[in-house]
Amino acid sequence: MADEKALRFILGDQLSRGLSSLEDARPDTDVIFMAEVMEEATSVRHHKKKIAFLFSAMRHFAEDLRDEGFTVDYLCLDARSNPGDFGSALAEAVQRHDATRVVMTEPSEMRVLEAAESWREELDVDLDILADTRFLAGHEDFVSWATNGDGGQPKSLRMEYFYREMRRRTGYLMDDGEPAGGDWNYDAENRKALPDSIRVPDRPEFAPDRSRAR
Amino acid sequence: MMELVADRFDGHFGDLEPFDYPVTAKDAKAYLDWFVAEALPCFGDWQDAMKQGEPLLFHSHLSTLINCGLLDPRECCEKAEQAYRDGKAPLNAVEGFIRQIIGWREFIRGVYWLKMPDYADSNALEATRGLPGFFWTGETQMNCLGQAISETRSNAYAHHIQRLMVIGNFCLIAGIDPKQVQEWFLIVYSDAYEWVEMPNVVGMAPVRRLRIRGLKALCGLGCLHQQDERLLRLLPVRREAEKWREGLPLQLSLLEFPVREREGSEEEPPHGPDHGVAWQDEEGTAGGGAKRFRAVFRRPRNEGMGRIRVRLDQLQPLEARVAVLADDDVVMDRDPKRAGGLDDQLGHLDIGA
Repeated sequence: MADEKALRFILGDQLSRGLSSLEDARPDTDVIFMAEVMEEATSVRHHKKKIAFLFSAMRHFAEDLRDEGFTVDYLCLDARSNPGDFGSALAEAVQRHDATRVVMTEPSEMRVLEAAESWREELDVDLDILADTRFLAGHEDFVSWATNGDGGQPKSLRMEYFYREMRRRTGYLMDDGEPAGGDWNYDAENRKALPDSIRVPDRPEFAPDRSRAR
Repeated sequence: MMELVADRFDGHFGDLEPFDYPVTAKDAKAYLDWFVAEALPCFGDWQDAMKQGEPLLFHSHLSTLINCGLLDPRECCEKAEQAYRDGKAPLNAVEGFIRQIIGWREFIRGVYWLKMPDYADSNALEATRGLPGFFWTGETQMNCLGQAISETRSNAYAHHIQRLMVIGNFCLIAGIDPKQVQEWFLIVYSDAYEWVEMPNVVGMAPVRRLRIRGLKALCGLGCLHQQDERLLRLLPVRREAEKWREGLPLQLSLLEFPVREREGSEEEPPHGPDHGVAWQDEEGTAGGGAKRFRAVFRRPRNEGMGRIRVRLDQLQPLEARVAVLADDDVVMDRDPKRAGGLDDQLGHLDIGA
């Protein structure tokens, strides 16, 4: 569609270039929308470092997309026009950009998914919620595994069996259809006592930069 | 950003600075590469260890980056596998790392969406105690807890063993309301989102829920320090006490747990040796908390609840010093004064090593 303009709404835990809602994004027509809102930052009283991390990472992600040529509408927490919640912020962004639809990847939490369903009711344009393909197992995959494929009552859920299934599906550490080394799980070897002489490697430090200080 | 957070979220928990964690996709990749080269080779061997003053050891510290999207879980697995294929990291380390990502992480997310929304209110053991005040200060004489919580306050991070075996276990045996525990985890950890922490907390707190989580991890109730799952034997506890005095209150408080759980169970407690032998393996399907509990502790045959009583009686002098955890009069809540009282009582511990 020549005059389509999608608003692509990216949440704070969706900072992936391969995100489903960005897959067919077009820099020439689409607008990417991100928002820091008090509603999320204070849904519980998150650790200060957690908030600083997430907002910083969001701002950098926005910068990276701008470097690619995208238009990014980024609502800062202390912007005077910040309404404080996703729903209002999104509705205003749709109007501001005259968007014809909104595209987002499914939120990771039920609380936000339910909110998104309500935005769908309130917005004048369509809201597409796409699967989060960053997870290796989709919802249907898990339900199918959990119910022996019949969608009925879940069986007893054991991580180990699910894990083996995932190993087979991904092919990670598999040799000719068999687990590398002959065993699926080497946890028994992972309980050694720490020798007193152990040297723990120094971690790299990533100093706060301009963007974070901004 | 630091000014913004310092200004707007001043009253929130945790230290804002120093801040040295990656916040860009590029730095996140560099951190992953560092981990694979420097820490992954040793990650497996000492995955379950703790060391005073070493908050990260050989743990990847990548969960925050994966959960917010800066790192792709597939890329993490592929780089780790490549290290194994190149002979740079052993299989036990690489397998353990990959299992965390394609196993636990995906499993937890699946369970969350399968069980929600009722999952949020799960509280199979009807644990109702408030969170102790020291969860916000780290000021407790239970050293392993104090360390884990202080490091959490500094780093918004604690590794798996600290979260599950120290903090999680304390909440379990102390009977802390899982809703409060959930909220605490969600607040304090930078990698925590509801989908991550709820199955971990709910699955770990009520024993009955263990059925869906792979019981193994919770066997750690007893084997954290002694690697001997027969927790309730007197000698290993004493021996451990000598090795790690500060760990003792948590260890000892486990001793009162079976009795409390038995009393709290709707199920008729087993009488006599015929019932007492019914310990189960991880495949067991018993629904009752008491039976499930026996599975957790892998009690040897012929050591039923009655015998436990006897053992506890034998331990009375020691147990008395941690009776605070069994004492319903001591309400642990967010009031620092009350928590101080708790600490005082634990401070009276005098373990002759």
